[in-house]
Amino acid sequence: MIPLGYLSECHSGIIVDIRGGRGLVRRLIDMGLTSGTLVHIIKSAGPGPVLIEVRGSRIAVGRGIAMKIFVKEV
Amino acid sequence: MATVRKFIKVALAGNPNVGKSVIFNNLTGSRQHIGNWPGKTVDKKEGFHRYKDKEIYIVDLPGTYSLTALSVEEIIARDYIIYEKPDVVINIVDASNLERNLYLTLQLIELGVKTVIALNKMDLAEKENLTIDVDKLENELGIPIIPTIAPKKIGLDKLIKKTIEIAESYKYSRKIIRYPSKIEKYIKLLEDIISETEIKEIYGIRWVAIKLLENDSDIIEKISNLKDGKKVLEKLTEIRREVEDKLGDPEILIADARYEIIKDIISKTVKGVKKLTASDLIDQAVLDKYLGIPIFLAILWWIFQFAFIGSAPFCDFLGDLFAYIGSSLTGLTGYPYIDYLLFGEYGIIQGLGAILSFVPLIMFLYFALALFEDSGYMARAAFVMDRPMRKLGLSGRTIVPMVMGIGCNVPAVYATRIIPDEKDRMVAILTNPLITCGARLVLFSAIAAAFFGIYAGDVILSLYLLGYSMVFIVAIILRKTLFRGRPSPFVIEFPIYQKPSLKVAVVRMWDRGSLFFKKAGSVILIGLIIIGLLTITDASTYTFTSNPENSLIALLGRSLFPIFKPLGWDWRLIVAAIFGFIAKEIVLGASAMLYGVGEADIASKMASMYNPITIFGYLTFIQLYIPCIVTIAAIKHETGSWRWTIFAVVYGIILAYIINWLVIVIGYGIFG
Repeated sequence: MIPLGYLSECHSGIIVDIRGGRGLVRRLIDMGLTSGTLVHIIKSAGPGPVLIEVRGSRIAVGRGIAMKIFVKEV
Repeated sequence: MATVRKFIKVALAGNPNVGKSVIFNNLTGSRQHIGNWPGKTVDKKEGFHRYKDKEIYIVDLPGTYSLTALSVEEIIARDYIIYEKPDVVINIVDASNLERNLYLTLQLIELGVKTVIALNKMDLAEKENLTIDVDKLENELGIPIIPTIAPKKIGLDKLIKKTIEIAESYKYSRKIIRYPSKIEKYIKLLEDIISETEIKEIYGIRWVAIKLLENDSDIIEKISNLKDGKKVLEKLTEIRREVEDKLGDPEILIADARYEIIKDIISKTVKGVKKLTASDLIDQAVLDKYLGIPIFLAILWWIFQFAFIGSAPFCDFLGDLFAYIGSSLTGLTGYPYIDYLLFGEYGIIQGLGAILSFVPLIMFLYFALALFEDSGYMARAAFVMDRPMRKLGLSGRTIVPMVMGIGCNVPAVYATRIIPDEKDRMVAILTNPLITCGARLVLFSAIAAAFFGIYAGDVILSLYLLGYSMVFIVAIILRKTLFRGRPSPFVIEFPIYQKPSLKVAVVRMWDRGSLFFKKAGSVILIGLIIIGLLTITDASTYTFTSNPENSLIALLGRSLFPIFKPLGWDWRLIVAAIFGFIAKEIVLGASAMLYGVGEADIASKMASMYNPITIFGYLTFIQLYIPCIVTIAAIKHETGSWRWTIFAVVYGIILAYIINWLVIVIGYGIFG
């Protein structure tokens, strides 16, 4: 299990856990990031935000958040 | 039999970026009105559509991903549906992004409101190789679905017909979204408790049960105020604890369950897999580590150029026109007092002209910003700028108003609308006046040239840098005190790039421009009248005077003298600064009047009266002190609060005074 932020571009993972405050978790859920969901990294360069594909939509999350979303690489 | 009603109330709901504005504009045409939701700085768009003998009132709810009580937008959308009871909600769904969009749809179904789906962007879904079995989807969701392609107006007629039909039918069997039985058990438990209380008369029982299980803060608060509220909430805590022990966080459980239901529906109704799109290819360039920021700056530069250069002839024309009207009407009333107040050089007509000349600028800017937003690029700009801005305690989008401020703080304050988080936005609004605007540049260049010769450029540059460093310092301080907390977490959807709609841009331009005129106009007018009266009233006789030196404003300047004495000012500099309140470029003309010289000679006249350190200090003061009256009006308009407006003015003056004083102390310490 690694943070989403460590997954490199063009790799995919399945969300295992989101460790954050209630507000953050809720917001991510509403945008489709729930445990067991497949995410694909489109852009993850340097210290900036990460662009992922999840449930057919493109969502960008800040680096800080990306470190709180834990995934299992597939 | 259904009764025929003439008036139908419809709300548009949907995720952001689903084409809601295009549908709204195409349905209402010119019969629309834009304002704010009461007490909120979120746009409220309402309009009318006539169909045969029916008058359909349409309100465009803010775009949301969900109906939890997490953001202002969600609460607005939800409260509207619950309390304003629209006859029908049109849920606009992006066909190319069905899975995430249906999450909101399920919540609308749960809410029990009559719903019609506009399955929009059908052309895009097709392009992406997705085939949607609309009939089957209709069956699965239990609500009517009309496929649409909004920009081409395809399906909109059918959508309206269906909406009317649903609004007028008594029979509306809504589907109940069933959760797995392990969750249903607890929903049932809560339903039983609620049905014994008066809560059931306000909301649907099942909906409240689900919301309570989800720990919805808004509903919990509302229930705690009811008579039986306490009892219900005690039971709720028990039940939630049990769920947590046995199954896990109920909030996440329900969300997961909703997505499972959606997955199941999708698997039955949608065929095909999305491929990599052109949009993704553009993103590879636009989000590039090295190219990203230069591309963003180039686009910003274009917006800037377009707005300022494009609007310049219109702005000049309006300014000149009012100056002409003012001067040609002079003497009309026969009473010099009224005459000067209305038509004089610092009178109301000329002042209004100066301010009206901002309207084209705001309109051009909104037009360009709307194109930029509509294309889908705004989310990318936030992505690229997020990290550098975050270091300063600001969110990525704040860069847009910060650059805009170089031209003029007024449109910059309005441009803060693109910042979704309320705290981020307030910090951006309150710090924006510290950025050197074009009007200040005019004044700075004239004075700097006379005092600092070949160093004039450096002096001006130092004032710009001073402005920006103060923005960052004040932002960091505000972040640590009044707007505690870090910039809101960055989570943003990237819409697929699309050709921006000219119609949407024109409508937004017109709405914003006229709103500025209507809302800001009154504040500005009051300011103009006050300054006008002060200038033409003799300080000793309280009758008309054409000589400002004897006027109340001069008295004001003289009485403020002790305060500004440590800065080396005389009363003229004080009065000129007061005039700067109308518009910063007026400081120059006002000084000319006070020294009794022409505007061209003012700089050399001043050079003979003050030394460069005093003047540099004065310039730092002008750079930082109260924003001009139009900016103040914009701040009032956008914060919706007099308290924050006054705060912006007061902190500006204090900051300006401190910096000016430091310049004097340090300056004389070194050179003196």
